Amino acid sequence: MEKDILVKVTARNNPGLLQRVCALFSRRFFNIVSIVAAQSQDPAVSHIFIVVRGDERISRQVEKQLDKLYDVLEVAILDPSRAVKREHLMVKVGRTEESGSKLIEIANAFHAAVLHAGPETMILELSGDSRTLDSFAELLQPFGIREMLRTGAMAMTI
Amino acid sequence: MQLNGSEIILQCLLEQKVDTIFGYPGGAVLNIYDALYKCPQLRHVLVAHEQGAAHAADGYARSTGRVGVCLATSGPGATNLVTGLATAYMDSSPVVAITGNVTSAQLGLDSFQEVDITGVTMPVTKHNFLVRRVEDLAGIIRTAFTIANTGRKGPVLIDVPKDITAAVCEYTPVSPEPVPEPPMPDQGWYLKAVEMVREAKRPFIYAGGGVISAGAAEELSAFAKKVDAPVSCSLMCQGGFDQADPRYVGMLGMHGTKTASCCIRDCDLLIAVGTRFSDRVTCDTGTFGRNCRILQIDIDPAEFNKNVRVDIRLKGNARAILAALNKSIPQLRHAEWMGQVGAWQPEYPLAQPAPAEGAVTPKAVMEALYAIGGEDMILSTEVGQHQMWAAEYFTFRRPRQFITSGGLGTMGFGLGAAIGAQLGNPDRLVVNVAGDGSFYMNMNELSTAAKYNIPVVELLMNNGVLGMVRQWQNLFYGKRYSQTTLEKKTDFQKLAEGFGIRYFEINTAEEIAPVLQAAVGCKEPALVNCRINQDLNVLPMVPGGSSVEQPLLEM
Repeated sequence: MEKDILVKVTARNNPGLLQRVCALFSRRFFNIVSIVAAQSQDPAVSHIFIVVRGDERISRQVEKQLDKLYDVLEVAILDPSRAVKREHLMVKVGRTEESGSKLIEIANAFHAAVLHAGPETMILELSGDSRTLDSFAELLQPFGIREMLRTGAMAMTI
Repeated sequence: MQLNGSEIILQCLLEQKVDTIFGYPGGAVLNIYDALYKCPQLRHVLVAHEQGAAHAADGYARSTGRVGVCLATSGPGATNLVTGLATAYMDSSPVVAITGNVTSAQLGLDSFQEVDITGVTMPVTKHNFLVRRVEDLAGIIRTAFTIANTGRKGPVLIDVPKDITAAVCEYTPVSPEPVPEPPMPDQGWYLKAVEMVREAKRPFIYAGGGVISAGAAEELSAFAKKVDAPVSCSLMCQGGFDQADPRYVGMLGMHGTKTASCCIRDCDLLIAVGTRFSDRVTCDTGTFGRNCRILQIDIDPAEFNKNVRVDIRLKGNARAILAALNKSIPQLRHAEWMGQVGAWQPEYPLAQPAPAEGAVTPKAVMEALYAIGGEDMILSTEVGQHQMWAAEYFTFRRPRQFITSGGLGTMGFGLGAAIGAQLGNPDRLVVNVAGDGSFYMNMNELSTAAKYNIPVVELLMNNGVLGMVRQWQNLFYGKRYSQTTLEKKTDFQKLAEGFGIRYFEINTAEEIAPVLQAAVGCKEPALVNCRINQDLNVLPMVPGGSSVEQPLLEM
């Protein structure tokens, strides 16, 4: 059965690392849903979080093929029930005099931050799991989404 | 001591006991070639084309078991290596390629002869390096050799900008550390594997190139006796098991024997050692091994359950695992099963009738070649029908006797590989079996053989067509021989003379043995033009998408 698989790669932060990882995914026909490269405490080591769409076989292949890359130190397939997952969203939404207070209300309900409030638009920011971000974006839809940016997922095991 | 980057490269090669490198000079490697001029301990072989250098390094590696080294300049020099690296990568052959690049300051500016070769070769190397500081150079070269020659072996490329080859830093010689043995497989899996082998009534051993790479041929032979099972070898494992042994049932797969296909159909346990279940072997994966359990032994865990579902997997070195199994397993006997296999063998012989009275058949050529060269010689091939005929009809007796491009199927591989093999094995006879299609791809390396008087015999199975593609056109495309009839006007005798090598010709069956004997006996590079019928086919054959259990025995 196909599902989203969250892979955490710990690797030597050498030049071309991201290219190596992406080249492997492209060569093996693994589908990247999202990818986040993040620095760790040690500048020589970086973490890459990749969401891949696939079944069990793909999951095992992703893990083992990544593990063969010389720069890769560790590969972990994260179990969603044993990890806190976070994505980040920024959205610029249309604003009128009447809708302003409603937007603030929605933002407060989600604990989203207001980054900028202009006469015609408002920029909001929210971190959360993908479902929370989806419903937040859906609620903002009627106000007119001018621009929306979303990162892939980062996660920490519990 | 203070050395420049070029001297460090050569010193590091000497550290690794490299004696021969294959290469071609150019602007970005001028400093390296200048250092080479003053380094008589390293033999440099000047090839005609960088692709030939990569194949020669690969042939050297496959025939000796040591890392092969090639050297090329930036840009086109580097890109010309790519097919050779991809060939080595697909067949897990340890090669280190060193390329020059433009100076660090010119990188990224589309400078003359600049190419992002680390970017280009990422998918066809185990790893690659772009050297940024001369202080890193020695460490990178040592690491490259370790990566190339450990675990599942493969090619590594080191790209060195020109300023690094001139920059000076402190160099301290380091002797290579012995390669640590990979860990043994998980004990739980191991015990299950022992149990499974003991319980099997009709075990069948299928060996791949990993047996040769791991030096596990002796252990495999002992294992086959202990388990009392028939053995099949993949194309990459030809010679990994003595084919004169009655347990040997021939290749398995697209051009496997009927006996091997009966074995995979009727066995209850398939023991796969050092093989990745290539599509050329499994054919239709839905039916492959459907009646048996599968035990897979491999150094690369990514090969488990990649192409074929396996029941038990043992990760580790094939030699160490087989040696352990040989201790854990008592002497087994499967008289009934072995009797059945023994009955199939004469029922389904590998025959190849002559197309006309006295006409040359590839089978007769390979048998005559074996009669002359025997188990001491090395046979390399190009890619196509002649490659399969060599694999089918020559009796390979020992590992590293057969050098062929299996995974990538690189036409033009064989001649360069034969040159590399000959230089790595100066006392052995080396014959490259070629088709005329492949011959045209890299025949320029005949000039290399002539220049250094490298006595390889280029045995041209000349049918005037791209035989393997034609065979498929014959079967599946209504005999529409689209662009597979070569109809070239080449005079091969003049060609041989032009290159400065000996020329021989075989036109009839009775000429085969004496002409081959003469070509081998001249101890000089030689071209043997062996004319064969264009309608000979490679049989048996499993058509694409069909089950490995049902090979066509005739067309």
